[in-house]
Amino acid sequence: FMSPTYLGIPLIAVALTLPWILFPTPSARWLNNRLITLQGWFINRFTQQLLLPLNLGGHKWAALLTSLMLFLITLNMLGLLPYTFTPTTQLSLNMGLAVPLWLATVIIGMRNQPTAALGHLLPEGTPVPLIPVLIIIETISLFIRPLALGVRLTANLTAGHLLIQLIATAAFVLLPLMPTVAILTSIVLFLLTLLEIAVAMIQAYVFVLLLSLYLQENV
Amino acid sequence: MCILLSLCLLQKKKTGIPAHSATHHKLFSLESDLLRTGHHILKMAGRVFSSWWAKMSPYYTGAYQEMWVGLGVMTYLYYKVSYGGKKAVKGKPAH
Repeated sequence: FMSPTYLGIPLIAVALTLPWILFPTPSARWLNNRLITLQGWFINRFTQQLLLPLNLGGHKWAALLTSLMLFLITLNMLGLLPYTFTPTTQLSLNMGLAVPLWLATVIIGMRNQPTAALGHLLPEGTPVPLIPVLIIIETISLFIRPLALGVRLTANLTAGHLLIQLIATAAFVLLPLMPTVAILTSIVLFLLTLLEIAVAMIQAYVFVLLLSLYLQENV
Repeated sequence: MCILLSLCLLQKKKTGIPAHSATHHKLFSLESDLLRTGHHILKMAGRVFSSWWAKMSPYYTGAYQEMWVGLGVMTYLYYKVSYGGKKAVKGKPAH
């Protein structure tokens, strides 16, 4: 899982296109089937919650943010199944998602309200001697955002998958020794449910992205 | 598919007898039906693309303009990392 090997590169194409199949397009009827209704309800609710703090300019990003969220959730959840490949464990993909989106928010801020965007680098009420230091610190924190976004997603998923692999291997090897296996398999199950905090991971991702957009486009 | 096409054409040229007899003219004719199917698929793909573009063009041309800058930056960085510069090319013959 460290780098795209021959196993990784062909599989990534399948793993990236498979989520497309899981979300059917709504038909022209008034009432769709249950799956589409459920997905549509979730999408609408999520978009509504996501766009609450944003002003009108930010609403252009609704489709992008919601589809990003769905994409990441599906990729992560599918990766929890055995013998699947999770593309989001690859740093290249996560950085490829994080950097352009973060850069777009920065450029939007610079284009529409440059003074306000630059003003975010200095929190209100700082003592005068601290101003230069704080501007440097805020600039560093601004530039570290895409790095943090990408690496956070990669590290969380990779660590979770690694733990599952290790513990499952240990449980399998210790199968002749009965009592240990029961404890280990229960730990594996518990860890799997914990790893469905991959869903929370996605919420964190989109939330943080949204936060930067919010900062740039509002005051 | 190309091998089948060329075989069919060769057969016609050699013997002068058509690949299928006149009574079976309604059967599948390899060359023209494949071409027709390909043509239909292309037209369908064109329609799909134009309907998608009709909905998505305001996004890609207007709302997400700043995204292309980031995409360009990332593409450039990917090529640098994957294929490297002069040093990487020099190192390859060592394999």
